[in-house]
Amino acid sequence: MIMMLSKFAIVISCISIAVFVVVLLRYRRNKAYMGMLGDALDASGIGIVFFDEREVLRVANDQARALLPVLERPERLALRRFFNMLYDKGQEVDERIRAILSTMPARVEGTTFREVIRADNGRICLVEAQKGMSESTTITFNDFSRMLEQQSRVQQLSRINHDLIQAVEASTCGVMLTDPKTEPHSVLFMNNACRDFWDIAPAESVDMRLGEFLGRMKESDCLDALRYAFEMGETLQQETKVRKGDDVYWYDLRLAPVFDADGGLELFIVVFTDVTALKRSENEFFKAQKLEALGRLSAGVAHDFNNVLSIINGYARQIENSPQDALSHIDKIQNAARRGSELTQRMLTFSQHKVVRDAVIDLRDALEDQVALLRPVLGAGIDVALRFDGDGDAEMYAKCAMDTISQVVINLAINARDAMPDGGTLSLAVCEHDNEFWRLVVSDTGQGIPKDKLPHIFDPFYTTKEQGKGTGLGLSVVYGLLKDIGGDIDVKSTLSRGAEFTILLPKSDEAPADMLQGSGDAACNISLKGYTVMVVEDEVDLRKLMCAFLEGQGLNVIAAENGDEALCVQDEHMGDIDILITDIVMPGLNGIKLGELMKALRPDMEVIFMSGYPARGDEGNLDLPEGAAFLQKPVDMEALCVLMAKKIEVRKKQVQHDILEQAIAS
Amino acid sequence: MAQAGTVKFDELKVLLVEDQIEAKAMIRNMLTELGVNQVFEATNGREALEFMDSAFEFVNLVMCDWNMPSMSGVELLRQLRTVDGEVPFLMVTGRTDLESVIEAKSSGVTGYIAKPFSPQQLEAKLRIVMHRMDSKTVEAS
Repeated sequence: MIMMLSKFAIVISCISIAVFVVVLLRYRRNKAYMGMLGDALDASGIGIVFFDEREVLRVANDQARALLPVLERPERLALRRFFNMLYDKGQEVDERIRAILSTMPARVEGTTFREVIRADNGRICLVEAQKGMSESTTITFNDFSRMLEQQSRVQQLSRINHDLIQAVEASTCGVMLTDPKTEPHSVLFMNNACRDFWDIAPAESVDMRLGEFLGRMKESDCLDALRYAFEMGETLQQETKVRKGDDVYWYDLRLAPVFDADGGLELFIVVFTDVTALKRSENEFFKAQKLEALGRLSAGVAHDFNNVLSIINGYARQIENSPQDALSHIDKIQNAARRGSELTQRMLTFSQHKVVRDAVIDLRDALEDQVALLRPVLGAGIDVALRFDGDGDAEMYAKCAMDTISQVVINLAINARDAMPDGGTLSLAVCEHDNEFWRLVVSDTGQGIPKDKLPHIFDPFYTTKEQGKGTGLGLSVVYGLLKDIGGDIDVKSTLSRGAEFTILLPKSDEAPADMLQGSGDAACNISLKGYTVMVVEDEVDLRKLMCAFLEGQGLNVIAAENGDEALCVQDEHMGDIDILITDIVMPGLNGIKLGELMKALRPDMEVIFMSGYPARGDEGNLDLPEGAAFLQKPVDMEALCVLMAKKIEVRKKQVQHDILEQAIAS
Repeated sequence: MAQAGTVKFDELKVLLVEDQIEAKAMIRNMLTELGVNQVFEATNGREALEFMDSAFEFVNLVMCDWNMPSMSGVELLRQLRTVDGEVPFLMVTGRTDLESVIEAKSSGVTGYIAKPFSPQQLEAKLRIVMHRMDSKTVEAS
């Protein structure tokens, strides 16, 4: 019996141990589940509160407790009381925010309660409650504070953005943004002014490609530089000249790339400023300067011219009184007339202002000519001394136009004359400065320039003279001219001991064009025979005349009346064309553009431009390419021959040089 | 009739026939920069002929590569001339030897341009072709 009892006890205890183990295992598994569930609830980022079917609070996760600390004391919270509390917190929320959030759809169907509340820690939450199948209630808290903050920031930014766009649209500068990251490179934004500048309709500017925009800029001379800057991601600042119909406009163009934090190209900002009005007034200013310098010269010349006239008049009266002596007076009258005509000739040379970009002069000849012109202007009381230092026979070629040296010398001489009212000496001395420059020193023995005035004398409108005697433009003209040709000027002066101007003129290895001429026609015949030249000129008589002359020189001549025809004619011509001579101003394709296109097709061809307008300066003219050969109309046929011979000579040397280089390389 | 010397690139309508995508894009870009905004594309001769069959009035210049698989530029030109004897034809070619130039000229192209070319060279060639087209119109009228 005891045995049976003990066996039974053992069985009972075994069973209870087994039951205990099973319960323990299930408990641990449940606990693990609960723990995982808790972690999951916390990780959801949503506040969750759970009431059981008896409306007793069972679970509140970390987020929920952070929002409402009252959840830390669950025993005080019945479900109904909790809802009332949420409702009260809902009243604290701004009506507009409630309106925004309440438009959001409920997350779960069967939502029994919905309220937007301001939680105890100030966060704005959307609270939703759902009744489960077991009559339990789950309440979720979605924190929308961050979203609302961001939304208000976005609103603020878009407001600023809107204001900025208004400001940029109102600007008179053309502004454009482009996006280099798109393929193809496209325009992001373009303001009104920019569209106006380039004649782009608002509809066209939407989704415009950079290529199309650059196409609109084809009349501008900065296209290549701009394209390069876009390609390389570089900044660019350039003034550009644009033709619109018969008008010419100048824009100041600035291009700036914008990089992101990693140094990648993000954006280009392009700004165009219309500087046409400024340019025009600059032009007016230059014209005024020229007139001023001319006026100063004429004052000197008028005196001399009056002398000439009084000589003629005097002898005429004598002849009237005693006609029998007429023959002996005639050559005196003729002499006087010759002097007068020389004077007017020089005045004309002076006022024409011919600028030839690659002009070269022989300083010896040029200065001797100028001194001859100066003597009558300066008057009898002033001696002029001209000295060339160094090797007596060495050539002194300078890269400078005759007109430039003439203006420089005349302006300085007239100042010197005014500084020496009682007479004195004006000296001009030329010597070698260094390998690059000739030095011309112009000095006088006048009253000198006060020390405090020295720094200003090259400023426009600055004058030391009394009112009415000068406008103060002369030296600024001299300064500008010298800077133009890459030269320089400086001044030294001691009061009552005169002034000394030192001028640097760039040297030239080449002789002046007129020196290449040699013995006139003969030189042309020898050097030009057999070469092929194309003449493009819309004026039919001039074209025929030139062709006949050039054929007479032994050249093969091809002619065309306009740019497009010239392109066609050269396309049909299978042989070489050595030189293109083209008018600049023609209907349709202009000469400059024609030169560019012809050079693209025939890179070895030389180009000579001709025009009735001066080579530069005037706004009615197109800018010549750097180093271009230019002939002023009416065309001097001799000068044309010389220029062609020079061009061919240069090319021959280039070819020889290439051959030599190839020989060395191989 | 366009007056001599007033070549208008924005009135040009080009059919560009080229099998290489990069070359096609490059030529198209150059054309756009010259102000030619109406450019149609075909990648081979058959496509080009189909296009010209149905839409020849939208094209006043054909620009075509010589070397293309299945149908060469010269063959395309020959077939095109049986239906359209007028439309100017600018041959794009990598060949610059005299024989090729003579072959191209004798096959009736209006102009030819050798690859690689610069925008200036293209502009010059387009002007030549358009000028020839204008002169023909003048003669015809």
